[in-house]
Amino acid sequence: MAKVFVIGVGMTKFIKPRGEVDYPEMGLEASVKALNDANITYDKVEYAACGYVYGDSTAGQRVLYQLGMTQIPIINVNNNCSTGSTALLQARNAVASGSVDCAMALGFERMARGSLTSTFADRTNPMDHVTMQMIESVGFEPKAPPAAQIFGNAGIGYMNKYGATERHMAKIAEKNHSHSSRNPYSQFRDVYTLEQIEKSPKVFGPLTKLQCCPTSDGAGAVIVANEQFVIKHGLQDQAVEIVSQIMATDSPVMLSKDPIEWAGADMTRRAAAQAYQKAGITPNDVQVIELHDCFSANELLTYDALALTPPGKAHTLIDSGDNTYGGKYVVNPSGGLISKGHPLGATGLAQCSELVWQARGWAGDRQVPNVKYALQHNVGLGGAVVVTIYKKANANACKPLTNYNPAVEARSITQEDYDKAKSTKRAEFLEAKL
Amino acid sequence: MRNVYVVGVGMTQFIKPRATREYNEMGLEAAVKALNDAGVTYDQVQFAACGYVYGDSACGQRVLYQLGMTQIPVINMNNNCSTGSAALWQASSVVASGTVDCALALGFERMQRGSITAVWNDRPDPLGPVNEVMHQARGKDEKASDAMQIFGNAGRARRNPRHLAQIAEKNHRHSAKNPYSQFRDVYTLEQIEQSPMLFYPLTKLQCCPTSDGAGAVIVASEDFVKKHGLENQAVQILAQEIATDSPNMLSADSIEWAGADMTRRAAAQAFKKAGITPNDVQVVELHDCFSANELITYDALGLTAPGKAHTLIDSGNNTYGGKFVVNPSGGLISKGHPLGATGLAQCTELVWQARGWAGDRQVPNVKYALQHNLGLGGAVVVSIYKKANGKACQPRTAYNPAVEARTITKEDFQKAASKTRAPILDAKL
Repeated sequence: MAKVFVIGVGMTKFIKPRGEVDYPEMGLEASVKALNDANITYDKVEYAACGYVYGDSTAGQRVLYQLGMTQIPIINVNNNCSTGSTALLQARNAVASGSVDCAMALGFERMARGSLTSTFADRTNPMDHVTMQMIESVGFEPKAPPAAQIFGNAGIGYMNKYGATERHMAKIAEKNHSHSSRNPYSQFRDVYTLEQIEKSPKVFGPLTKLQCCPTSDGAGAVIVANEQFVIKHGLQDQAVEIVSQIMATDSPVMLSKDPIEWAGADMTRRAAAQAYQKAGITPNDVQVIELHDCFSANELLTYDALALTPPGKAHTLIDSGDNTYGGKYVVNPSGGLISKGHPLGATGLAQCSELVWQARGWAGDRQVPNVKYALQHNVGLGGAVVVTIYKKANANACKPLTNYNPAVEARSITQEDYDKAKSTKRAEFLEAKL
Repeated sequence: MRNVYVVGVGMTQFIKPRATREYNEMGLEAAVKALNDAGVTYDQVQFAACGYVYGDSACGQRVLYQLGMTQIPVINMNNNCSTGSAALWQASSVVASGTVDCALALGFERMQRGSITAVWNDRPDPLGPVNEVMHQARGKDEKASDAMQIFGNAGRARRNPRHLAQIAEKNHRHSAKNPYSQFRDVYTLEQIEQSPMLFYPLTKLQCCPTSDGAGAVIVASEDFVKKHGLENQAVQILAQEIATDSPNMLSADSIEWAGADMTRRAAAQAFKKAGITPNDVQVVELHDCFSANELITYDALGLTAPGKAHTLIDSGNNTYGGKFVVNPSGGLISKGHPLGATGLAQCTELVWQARGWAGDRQVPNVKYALQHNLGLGGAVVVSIYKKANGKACQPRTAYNPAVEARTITKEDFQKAASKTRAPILDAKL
């Protein structure tokens, strides 16, 4: 299997889901940024995996045909909230297998306001099994969003089993909101006191409003390539290797009576253990982490499932300050899903973008010091988890190939940016007018 | 890249979309049949690609978790009407790469009645650009679906509408011998031409129905084939190419609106990879969503010289007794078209044909089989199959699934299921 390197990343600023910008525009912006970052055109891309949950089939082609109609394989993929990482996994496998030298993972989402609901109400809900287990074990709150109940119950489970408290979860949210103030791509950038977070409207169990991620519109794109491509295009100094990447789906314990398991913790344990082993490292070797804080409770139990602490000790990471700047790890320097936002198809690619910027040392006043290994965790109920470990390809410093540093400045794209990225093989009808 | 073999296939009988069967029920049936066909359990599967268009995310897991919760990678994917082949292509790629020895491609669909419409009306239709080019060039029919207009307009490029009716007559006739087919009636040419005109030149009996159904294919490496003694039933995927649109799709040529250039590209690459020409093929399953598409596809696949597609009909070289048998299953027109399942049903038919199991619809002397599956938007997958060896093989199940469409029993399920399951998900069989 060939080594795989991230050579280009890009994302849109995440925004409230008001349908103000549509998916072809958002998807184009993220892809152009990633191509500009790698200083290549779409002609170099030989495979594309497009991730989104809400939209008709072939929306991926609708986006990419604006860049070129080059007849490359394009597939549309989804895995609920881990859709973005699923697309990245597909792109990575295409390169690792040797079938292509360069591939793109694109993710975008245009969401409805309010909490997640099913689109297809006339058929079996893919989550009916865990919802039934939850109802039988602890009941169902008709007014609270279902996802909040699954993760809220998982949080309560961790409290009951291991002695974590509601305050621990509130502190996670406080941290992520604080981190986001330095991320120009973040949907929200307000800083809150712990009291403000605890006093925000209660959603379910320990989860108050400021501890829940919003719905969002946005897009992200990542370009991966093999070593030969990196060398050929002189991208060694900015390349970040995907040292290991593992997808795991649920084990039967997800349907046990333990609420921690309903949130898919066993998928994380499995994917993480395999990822560390494949990379030849332990959690102690990691400095920066982007993990799936859809709700503060999930960040808590993920510390445990990723083995950042011994089992049952996740809350100690908060007490010791080892989950933020100055501590052992910086978890969610981007502001996480809670503050940055969570457009389902884009999130996994936004996490990757942040970690690549961190590995390159571009993250300005949110830079994590001495990044050697970066860890990504993206989970979707239903379900699937992808755990990814990154390491910069060499120790040389690198500067953006664009005329600004995209890690610290969120700009939209210009006609010139698009012209630099597009293929020679296009249909005039689909030319973007910027 | 390693050789990839189909070792197990299975499908449900395609039925009218009346919501009489759930997707998790149909998907389970197809998956169990494929596993039983290969004589392995779900524990052997190391990767699964699940194709469907209509459904919430993670429907693939909802189906497969009934068989086992073994923590293998599972992805959900779609490419409109070529969704099933996209899943097969993805599963095969993972085996070819050496990452796994055995993978599953599952496809299912539970459709609405009536023609296909967009689900998301509040955002750009992915088919918007080609629809706009078409409406500017040809006007817009308020009654016919966009897909019907696209293929109908492509059909108008041909001078003789009778050829299109003949294609439909052939496919309905073939389907009489396929127990999985949604419809099995035989029609005269006159009945086909006199059926209601939906969009000139397409009459009702020249259009595929909407359908509910599922299909599953298990692919494996050579090592796996040998380890499980599957040599005599294994069918090699000699080539499998996927292509998306070229800029010609948005030109003024109506044939191109139907994605013909994707077919040309994928077919040329596939024949080259397999080291054969169309003359080496005996049996073809291609994407006859509308009779017009079968016609233009003869040309785009290189079965005839360019511009000569209709000669294949005039000469009888597209049915039994002729050079090729095209759509022995009855094609989409009669067999049905549950979007996620179709590509896997085409593969299933061709594997049965290659194994010599197809009974009274068997194509004689099958050496190479050709599959073509197309989705507007878009993507085309062209696949070329060849039986792994020249030996005869018998079904491992108690009956020949190619000539008998049965549902699955509890015993069939138990033979296929993993031990790593959550009992609350067990289907009531």
